[in-house]
Amino acid sequence: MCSQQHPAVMEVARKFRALELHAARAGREVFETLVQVVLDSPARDSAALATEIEQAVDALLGAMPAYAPPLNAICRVSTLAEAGLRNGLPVQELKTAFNEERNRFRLWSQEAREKTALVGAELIRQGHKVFTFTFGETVMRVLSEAVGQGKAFRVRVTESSPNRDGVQTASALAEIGVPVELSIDACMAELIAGCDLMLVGAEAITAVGSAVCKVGTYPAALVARANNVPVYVVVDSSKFNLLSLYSIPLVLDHLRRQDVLPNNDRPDVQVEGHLFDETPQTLISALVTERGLMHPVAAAALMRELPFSSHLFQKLSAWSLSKESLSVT
Amino acid sequence: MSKHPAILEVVQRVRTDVIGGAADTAKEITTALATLIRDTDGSNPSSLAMVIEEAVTDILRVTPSLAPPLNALHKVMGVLEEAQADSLSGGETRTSLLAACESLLQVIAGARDKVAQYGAEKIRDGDVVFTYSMSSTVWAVFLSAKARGKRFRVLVTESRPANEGMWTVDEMVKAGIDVGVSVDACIGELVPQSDVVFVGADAVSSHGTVLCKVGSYPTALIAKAHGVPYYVAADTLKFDPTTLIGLPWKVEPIHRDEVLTKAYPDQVSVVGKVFDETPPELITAVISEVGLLHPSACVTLMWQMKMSKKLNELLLKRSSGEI
Repeated sequence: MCSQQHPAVMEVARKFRALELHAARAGREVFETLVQVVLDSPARDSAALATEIEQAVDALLGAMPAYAPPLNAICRVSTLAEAGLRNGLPVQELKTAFNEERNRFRLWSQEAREKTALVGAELIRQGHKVFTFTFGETVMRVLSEAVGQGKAFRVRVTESSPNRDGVQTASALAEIGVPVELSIDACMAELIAGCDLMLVGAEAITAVGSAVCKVGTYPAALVARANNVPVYVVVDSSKFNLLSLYSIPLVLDHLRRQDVLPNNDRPDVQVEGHLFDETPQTLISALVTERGLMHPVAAAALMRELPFSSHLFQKLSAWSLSKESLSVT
Repeated sequence: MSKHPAILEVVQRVRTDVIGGAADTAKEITTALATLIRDTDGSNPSSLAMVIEEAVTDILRVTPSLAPPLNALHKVMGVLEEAQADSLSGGETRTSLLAACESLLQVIAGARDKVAQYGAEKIRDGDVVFTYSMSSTVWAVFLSAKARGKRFRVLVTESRPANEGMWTVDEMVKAGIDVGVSVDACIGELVPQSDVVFVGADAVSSHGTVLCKVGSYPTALIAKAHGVPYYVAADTLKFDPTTLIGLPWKVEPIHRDEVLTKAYPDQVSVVGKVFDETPPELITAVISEVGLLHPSACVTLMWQMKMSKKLNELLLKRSSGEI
């Protein structure tokens, strides 16, 4: 099966397996790859093209974790193909439609990133102390936008085990001249208590307004709430997990054994926990999105604008069931 | 006058931090003081007092702000001050000092068993029990529950920077108790899955705040948010009466080399301390050898504890850096 796949599909699947793709980038890459499959397809009719898309989608689903942006990208591509088939579009016109959709998506992505950064930067004031957790491209863009606006502020961040992405955040901020204080995750309370706000990214926002983020974000948000520090989740709406609107659970990756026991010793001991946790909407002050600041429970209204179909529902529901792990609705 | 070898030795051992837990430090200090008292001529009460005060000052200089050893010093000095107030003879003073040391050693030896016994009552058959970091008192609770035939599972996280959580993992494996481990960031998932949380403490303050390994406070917040009972296993030696006179806890910072390699850019500073403070409203009870108490009620036992005026003066001086 795999040997027949488009090389771009194989490459994205490889990147997923190697854990090289962050959620937002994964959305863009999955979308671009699927459009490339369409444009390069030798199919003579739309039905054959639709089958080819379906196979590419299946190959990607087989490799990818449950990130919202690539799932949304799959929905976007699949519903477009389904509509083309339904309307009896010739293969060439379907390809043109995909090309236009790609241009629209690229423009939207670019604008969404810029607008989100601008909205987020407004939250940061001169002299602020900002707590952030792990590494997030969207949060980094907000912080660099604030630096670009000439604001002087400090950032506090913890390591974020496993993978220690927080250390990457610290060095990236040091590079653009932001004073950074770093500590271990256990020390989050001491770091958060004196901050003016907490800014984090998310893997997904669910229909009920929870944020699925790197593990440790939930305790950090709880500490922030207890210390009256507002919590902002920076996400463009590609992170709104459409599947959650239809109550398909989002499957979270389990921690790997070597994340906790690097020498793979202690055979009697079970490694517990997942790579992400869920922060309830009650702890989130607002989402920072390309549509402005909004309360997370309002995300469902925007999800209803996204394309979906009953065929996709069945496919993704079965896919989510096949993943044996903790799920979040 | 030359110093007693027992005092020289204990000062050396405390300074070089070779003694295990705070209770063991208290035990060694009390034993050394008892040896000194036994070997000192009791014919002159004021020279006996001078010898003891000198030894206590020497020990205080090297002792970190840990409640158990400070409580031991308070007790010995407090008894000495009482003897002076009552104009006891040298011999009588020696006798009451040695009795005080003996009862102190009995408390140190016996308290853990009682805490273990009361704590084990809070573990039910089939429970999932979360603990943070390591505490020999909490281990004793688990062993006691196991000895009573209760089957339960222990969850623990690494407890960076020193990873003492792995000590708990190994101790549970040794005891044949089912154990699961994760990263500290995962407390938000593991605590809500648990039936009860147990942690050890380094000190309990007069207003009910508990000093524990850093990461305990966020753990307690999660327990509270999910209605999971949160118990602090701490015998009364951990009750810190110096907080009654407003003395702050001195907590060690996390060192840069525990978080970053040498090659990492200097612009990033490493911050944070190795202990954090959990407020009383997040704690279900402190389990001590006198029984279960709300942390805010621990002060009632501190009022009964022997406090030495002289030692408090020395502690205040130490706090302001004079000694």
